[in-house]
Amino acid sequence: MSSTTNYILGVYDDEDEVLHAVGEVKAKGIKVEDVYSPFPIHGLDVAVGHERTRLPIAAFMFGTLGMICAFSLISYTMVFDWPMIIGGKDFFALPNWIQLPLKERYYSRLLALFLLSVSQMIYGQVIRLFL
Amino acid sequence: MVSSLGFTLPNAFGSLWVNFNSPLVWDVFAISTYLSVSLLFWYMGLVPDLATIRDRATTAGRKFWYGFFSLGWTGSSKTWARYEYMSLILAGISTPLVLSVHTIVSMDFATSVIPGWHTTIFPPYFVAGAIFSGFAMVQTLLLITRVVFKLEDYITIEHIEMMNIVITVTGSVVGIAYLTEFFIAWYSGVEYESYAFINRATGPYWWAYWMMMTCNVISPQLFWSKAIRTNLMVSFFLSIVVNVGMWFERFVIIVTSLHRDYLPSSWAMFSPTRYDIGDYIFSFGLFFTLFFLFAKYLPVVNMAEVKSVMKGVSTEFTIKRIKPTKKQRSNFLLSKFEIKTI
Repeated sequence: MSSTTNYILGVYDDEDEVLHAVGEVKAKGIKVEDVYSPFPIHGLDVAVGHERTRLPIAAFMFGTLGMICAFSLISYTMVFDWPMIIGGKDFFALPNWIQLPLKERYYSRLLALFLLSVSQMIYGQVIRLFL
Repeated sequence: MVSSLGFTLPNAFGSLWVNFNSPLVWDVFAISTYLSVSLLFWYMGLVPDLATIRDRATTAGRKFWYGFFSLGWTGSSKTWARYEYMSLILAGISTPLVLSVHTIVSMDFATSVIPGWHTTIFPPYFVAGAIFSGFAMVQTLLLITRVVFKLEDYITIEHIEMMNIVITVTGSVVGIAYLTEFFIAWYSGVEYESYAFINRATGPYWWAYWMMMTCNVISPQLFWSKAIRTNLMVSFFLSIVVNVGMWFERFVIIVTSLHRDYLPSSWAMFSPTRYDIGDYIFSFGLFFTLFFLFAKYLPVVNMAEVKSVMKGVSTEFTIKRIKPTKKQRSNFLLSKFEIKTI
């Protein structure tokens, strides 16, 4: 059974008109598939009704994970595996280490952001080519 | 770096790790994080513009390469939303990163025992110095680039003026740091520290110290005058002066504290070898090669960003926008607007 879907295509040369049109179209109950623009239009993703991206949450999770991993590595190596008396300081030298997990957090966030955004974009292209 | 990734350094005797208590190891983390975050922020910001170039490419080669690096960017509103979020997150990460990275790097000096280095003013001093020197470097490059690429309407005198104001502010912080160092050297009563500063001002490297003081303390104060900070030639000249001053600051910090420390029998003079000088010239070559490659193949101004603020800041449009009320926003309806073009 084949079903026909009709699409409306709108072309605009002004961003305020796009926003207005999206609002009008949604008010009439028509689903907005997507809006393409050469620059980001503020308020557009809210207007179209896209669900909020979970990228910041993912970045935070990866960052926390990175911090925990870095901290575990440092504590294990400096306290259990190879404790050394350096400058008479305690083995668990938190003041020395505190910034390393914080840096590692950036790494992990970075990795998350990069992998997620690149893979989303490439995945989108793959889907587009095959469907 | 191998062991900081969780693998031990390969050797015949068992596990061997780096010393996580050492500032040199902290540098590895700090600088590599700085590099990777900056690279990612830069690259992600370029993606929409690379896509624009891909769409307008005339040769197959250009279309392929710009297409490859633009990661299939379509300009869909979903991807723009993610782009904006990523920019927000990366900007939010970068700010504390700058502060922490320069703090860590200053601790290579501050955690040592050398007189002139072992002082707690170093972290804020280096952070302010980095921003000071960085803005001066940007000014040096930008003032030429905007003329060569005819971007005077996009990078305006106001922008240049704002940067000069930042140079004044951070230059003042650096000046206060110099005074603090000097004061604490006397106030602490530590004779080695006091001597280190007397040596800096009056010893065999006094010329480097006074160059540093003139360039870093006096020149940014000139930007209090509006006439000077809106004058492009003077801005360019002073940005070079600041760059030279910061070079002398690094020279003074390293050489004057090392050539005379605790034991007078070890005192010596530093003279650069041809390798030191060659290394330095090489760094100029590397920097300018990369910068020119960037300017040749990539857009120097973020086109998408300019387009998105065009209506708000352009002098050719005046738009009277009525902000939608909360109720209207929640109904995905936007209120009426009037466009008035000149």
